[in-house]
Amino acid sequence: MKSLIKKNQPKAQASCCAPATDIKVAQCCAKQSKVVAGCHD
Amino acid sequence: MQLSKHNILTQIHGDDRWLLVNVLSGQADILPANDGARLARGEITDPDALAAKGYLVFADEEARRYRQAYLDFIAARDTDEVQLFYVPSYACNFGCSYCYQDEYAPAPSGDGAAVLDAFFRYVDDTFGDRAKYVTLFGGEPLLPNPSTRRTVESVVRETAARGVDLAIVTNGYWLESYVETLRKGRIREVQVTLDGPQPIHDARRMLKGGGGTFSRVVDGIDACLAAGLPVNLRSVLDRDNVAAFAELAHFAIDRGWTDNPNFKTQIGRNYELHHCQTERSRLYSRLELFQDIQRLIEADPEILRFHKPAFSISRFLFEHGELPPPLFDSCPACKTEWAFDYTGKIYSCTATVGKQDEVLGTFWPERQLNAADVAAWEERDVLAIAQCAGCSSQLACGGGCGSVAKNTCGRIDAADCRPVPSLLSLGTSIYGREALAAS
Repeated sequence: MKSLIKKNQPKAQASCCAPATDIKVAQCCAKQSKVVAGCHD
Repeated sequence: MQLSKHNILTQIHGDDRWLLVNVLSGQADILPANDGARLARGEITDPDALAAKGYLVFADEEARRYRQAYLDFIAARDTDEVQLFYVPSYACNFGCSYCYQDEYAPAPSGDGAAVLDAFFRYVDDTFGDRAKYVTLFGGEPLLPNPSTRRTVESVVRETAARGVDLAIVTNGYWLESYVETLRKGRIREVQVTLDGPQPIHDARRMLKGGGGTFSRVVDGIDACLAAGLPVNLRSVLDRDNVAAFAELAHFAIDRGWTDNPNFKTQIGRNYELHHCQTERSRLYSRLELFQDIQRLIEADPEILRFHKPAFSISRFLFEHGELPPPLFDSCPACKTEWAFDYTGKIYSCTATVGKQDEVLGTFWPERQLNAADVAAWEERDVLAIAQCAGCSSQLACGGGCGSVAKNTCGRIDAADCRPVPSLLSLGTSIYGREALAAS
């Protein structure tokens, strides 16, 4: 397995022990999908 | 332990290796051919490595992480920026071959100034404490008649006075004549459409009654960029014009647009929205379109200087070295998007605005909102859509478009699926070349 993840982030195994907020949910994904018109596609 | 419900495993296009992605755990890996094939059969070859990355999980622990990620998504969306579309008219000077609004029967206009004033009062009262921006939409919002110019000047002035950005979706024909007006405002971007080089574009996006539009649109783009106004160039693609996409890309490159930081692009798929098109055979499915675009890029990588398709989350992965956060809902309607028109009506989004059976309420002459209809849009996400429950791609897809789902299935809470594994396969073949060469 060759990881494609370059940024440091909590491993899934660790996150089950750590506070759930370790999994950061930002808005970039939603924003990435938001365009001025045509988001319906 | 068991394999995660959110593992997306796909063989990389043109390669014998596999891509394994898990949006919930935030992990993505390239697997050797044999390992990928075995995992595809459900065989677990290296449980420790898979468990360390959340590909192999305890079901209850994964369910906890899923719930928390959902709560975080909802909380973040509640503070996300809202896009408020305003349609000053459904009139348009173009007769595009694929117009989905051509069967609309616009109501006669009344007191446009009073309705616009009511719109901004509604925005102040309803979205006063939300981050937001306004988008002028149509029809064509930049027609040359005096009343339209007065409306645009008002919108530019009122948005700027509130410190709110303004975007404009225009066909671009009269754009150059509006640049000085727009420069007075807080213009986030001007979206203009070119469907190809001149002969292709003019055959698809012609004036009503005939006549080419390409040169005027190009002049409008040049004028915007010269004035420092951001331009978002959209190309609506189907089988009739996709082959000319490379030529359009080189036109933009040669004109210097792609070197301008204020220039960006997007692809719009020509698709069935509200009624039958005359030539359905020219329409692509999402996958077919991006299969052909991938082929075009392989043949001419310079296209990427003009446009970098997302291929689901693959561009994000290779550009950022991480995955985007879980997407529990890709439909912004009634959450981070609303649409309003000059008749005083309220709609959920750009796909529904102007459709009489999609009216959710009014902001003029009186305010009224159908709470049950709004709730149906608000509640749509991958947890509410039954088909999403067992889908490993749900957190990359987000359930798709509610309007398309309603048109296809008759219900908002139905899935409009994105072909995520196939798009990831295609995207990795384009954006993952360096990683593939090194592994």
